Amino acid sequence: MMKTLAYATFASALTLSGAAFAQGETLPPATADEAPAAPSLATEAAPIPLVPEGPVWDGFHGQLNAQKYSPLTQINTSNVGSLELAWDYHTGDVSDGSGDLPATVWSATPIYANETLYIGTPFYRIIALDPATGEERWIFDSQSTLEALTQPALKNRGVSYWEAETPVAGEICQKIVYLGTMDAQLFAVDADTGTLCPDFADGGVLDVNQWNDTNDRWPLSLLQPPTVTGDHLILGWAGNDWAFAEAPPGTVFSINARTGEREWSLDILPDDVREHSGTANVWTAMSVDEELGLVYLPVSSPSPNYWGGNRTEEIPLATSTTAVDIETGAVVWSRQWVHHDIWDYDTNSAPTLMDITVNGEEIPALMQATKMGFLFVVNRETGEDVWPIEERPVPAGIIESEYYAPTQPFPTLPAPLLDQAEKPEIWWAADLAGLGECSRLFDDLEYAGMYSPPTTEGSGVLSYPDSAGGVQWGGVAFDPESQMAIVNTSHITQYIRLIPRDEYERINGGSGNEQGYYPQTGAPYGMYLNNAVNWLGMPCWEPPYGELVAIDMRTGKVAWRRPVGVSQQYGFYMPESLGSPTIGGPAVTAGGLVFIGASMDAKVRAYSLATGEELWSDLVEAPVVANPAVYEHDGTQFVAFIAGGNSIIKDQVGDQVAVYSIGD
Amino acid sequence: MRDIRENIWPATLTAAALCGIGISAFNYSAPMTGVTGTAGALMVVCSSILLAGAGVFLLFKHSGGSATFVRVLALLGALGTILAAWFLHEYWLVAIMVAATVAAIMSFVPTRTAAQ
Repeated sequence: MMKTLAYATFASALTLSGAAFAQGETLPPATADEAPAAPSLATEAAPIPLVPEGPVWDGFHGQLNAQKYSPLTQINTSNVGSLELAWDYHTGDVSDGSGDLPATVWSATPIYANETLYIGTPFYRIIALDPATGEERWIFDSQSTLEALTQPALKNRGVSYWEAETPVAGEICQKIVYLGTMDAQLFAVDADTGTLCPDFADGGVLDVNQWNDTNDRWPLSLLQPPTVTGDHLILGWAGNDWAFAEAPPGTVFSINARTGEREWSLDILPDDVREHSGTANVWTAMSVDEELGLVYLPVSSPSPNYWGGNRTEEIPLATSTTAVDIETGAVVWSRQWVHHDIWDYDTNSAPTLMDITVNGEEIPALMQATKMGFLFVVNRETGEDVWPIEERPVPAGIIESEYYAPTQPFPTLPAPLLDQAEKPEIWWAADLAGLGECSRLFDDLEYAGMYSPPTTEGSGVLSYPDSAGGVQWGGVAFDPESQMAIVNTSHITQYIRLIPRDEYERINGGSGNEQGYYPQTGAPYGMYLNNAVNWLGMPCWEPPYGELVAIDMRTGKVAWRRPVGVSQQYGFYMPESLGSPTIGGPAVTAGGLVFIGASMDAKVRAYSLATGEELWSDLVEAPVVANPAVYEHDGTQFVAFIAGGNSIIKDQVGDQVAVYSIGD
Repeated sequence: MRDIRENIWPATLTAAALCGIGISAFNYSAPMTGVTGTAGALMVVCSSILLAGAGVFLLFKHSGGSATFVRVLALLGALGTILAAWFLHEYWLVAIMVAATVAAIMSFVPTRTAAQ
């Protein structure tokens, strides 16, 4: 009962203004390393527009607002059908895992800056390319260890870029490209020459693992490039899911872009939880409103992921969107999307910042897509609801050592991307091919809505949306002209069973990426997680398996939705009406187009932003599992995809950068 | 003359199957065909090889229970390969397997003498 009251109280408190919230007793204040009591950006500069005035694609999500929007119109609905491969480039940094190296997962977006296209690779190299031809300008090799220290594969999500406000001609490192590695090293490289920046940290390399001082069971893997705002690098890190109950607790660092000095750090977990839990880290991209001086953190779930008996205290910032002052690291507001998360529903994408008009009122909004398939929309200044977000009762479970949050937040608009309220229907074709295998499995799985707790009974609990999520790190794209939001979603069903420790020790076997046995060492339960498929690998649940959805943000209503991509198994393509699970995300342009890869069939596509009609497609080397980049160079508009693959979606890897333009 | 008429459909079946081997092997082995290295693409390579074997058999064995049995197998194999090729998006293979199917069907038709 105390918990009920506490969560309800906290939910109300979330709408308080930043100063009061940041001083709350349960919220961890940032640790200022160097007393940077500088005024915020908002007070020292002219107003900074949310949407850049020109075409910008110098970060993982294109712009700091994470809109993935380009104002370019050279490629548009009338000519996109003639889009052609302008050039492609193969990095050579690829492994299918069959040799000495782990498999690669390459979820990067190329960035266009300094009239150069920069890419980071899963072998932890930076490659600078001519944006018009793909010709190499320079390559930097970090010589990082190629071991899968925290992940099942070698992973990279690209690089980031900074330049001095007034670059000094002839001086090195006035423009810098940053690359992180799995072993927690951050490299700063001169953007013109590819040489290390001597004034940054230790000769151009920052050992972020020096701050890994609690439960340091693995290095703070820097797979997501830092978010660059002003002279700050805002840095999160990735870890090893499902492995330990006690793990490194989530921290976010602000690093001086020139020197590598730490400016502040934010501890996500309260002090009394850090030792006996962990993570609630920020492993994905962030977004920034430079005018407000806020960086928005998508915070993941605490450790261990599927049992929370070791962390029954309130952890207000876990599984949240948290707005933080860029200059001080103070929490200004926070919204928790899952209370006492025992489903690994990490907040897994940067919130998309958008100015929208609702009922005639201009609202500085933020849309947070989630693994749950919910799209939470709040005022990005205050964290208050734009459309009501309701606390609704959710079921409790049977594990005695567990605590079950009695309610969870449910948005009223936009509607959920998936229907998580009901147990998914069984796909007759898979059930027939499996001679009733799917029916038997589903009968043995509990499901009373998405927040059905993990259990030891039967085959476990049905998990829908799955651990990878209804929406992944590609997040939501937004067209500021039409106020249309575009998001791709996956409909995947898994099942999870908690296994008492002694039983787990007897039966556990190997595990793969997002499937198999996982120990949750230190917890009384290990776990087993698998996709709900029949013996042929056919999904047991009804299609579609992935969709592209357009939402009119003036009303919060769906404008159109359609299956996206084509599912593929053993080479066989399924009908287009079934769609494909997706990882990666869209980009939108003022040319009225949505570009996206993300699907199993390794195709890249263009859709009409207005209608969802597919207008163009092409085959690339592997699934594109990040967002495309849209840029203009020497008067020509290009669309760039990185075809790197991800074993979550399909065992297919690639090393291709595929860049398209309108042919002559 | 009778030999030529008797062999035209088995020969067509064989030729179509050989083309099918080439197409399917290319799709299996060449990069970025969409089915490179997949089990499904390998399966249609194998089915095309078996169809070619059936065609060669029928070139030499025109009648009898074994010939009929092989004709049935060839027809089923060609139809199955069409289905598989369709789901593999190997549309050239679909086209060539349609020809193989026609040839397999026509091979059932008894050869008539020209003069009565």
